[in-house]
Amino acid sequence: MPIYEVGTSQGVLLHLGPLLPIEVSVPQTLIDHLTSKGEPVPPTVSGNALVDTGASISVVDLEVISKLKISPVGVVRVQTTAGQVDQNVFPMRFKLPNLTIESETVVGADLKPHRIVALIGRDVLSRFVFIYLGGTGRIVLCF
Amino acid sequence: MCLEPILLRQELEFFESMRAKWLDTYKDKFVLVKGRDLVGVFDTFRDAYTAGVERFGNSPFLIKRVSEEEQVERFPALTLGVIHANI
Repeated sequence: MPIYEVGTSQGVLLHLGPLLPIEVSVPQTLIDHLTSKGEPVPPTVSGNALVDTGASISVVDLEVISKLKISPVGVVRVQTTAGQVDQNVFPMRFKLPNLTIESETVVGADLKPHRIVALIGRDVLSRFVFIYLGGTGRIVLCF
Repeated sequence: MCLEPILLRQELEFFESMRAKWLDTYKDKFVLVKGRDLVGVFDTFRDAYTAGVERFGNSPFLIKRVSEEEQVERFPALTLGVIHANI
């Protein structure tokens, strides 16, 4: 079973949470389409993603979605502090070392204030074993 | 959480108007809708997305699973603004 481990320190993990270096890109289906038409494929965006077991689906920064020029493919109902609202969802590709994840539906939100490009929710986590080693400041993904 | 105005409202309204009818024949399938047209019915999201991209390219279209109830997505840390909060 491949293992991806990120080590920081107990303090960093405590204050910043489980952060993973990640690449966000256009889904493979769209890459194939753009390539076949001779159109440019928007470059991958790199940054940190925060693993959030409280999020039912993953979230990507709106500016990143805009840079990737991915069109929405759906609408989901989202619970906010002001009630339930409809939000667009986008297909997305996440890349970790040795692993590419095609996510069907991510929501866009302004994540810049949090200095992250994505929140990894339970839709993605459903494919892994996720281990949070608070005492040693490490997180481990087994897939 | 910053809320953006959504696209695909026409497709969503069409889906909602057809949901009860489609539940009889397409329950748990993925429908591909553009405007007020049902373009296709698929077993998986991936198949629907591939068909949508082949037909419409990188433009908005709606893919939705035909189910009785709308699932509500939740992001408590984001919606409550408590990511990295020092409490």
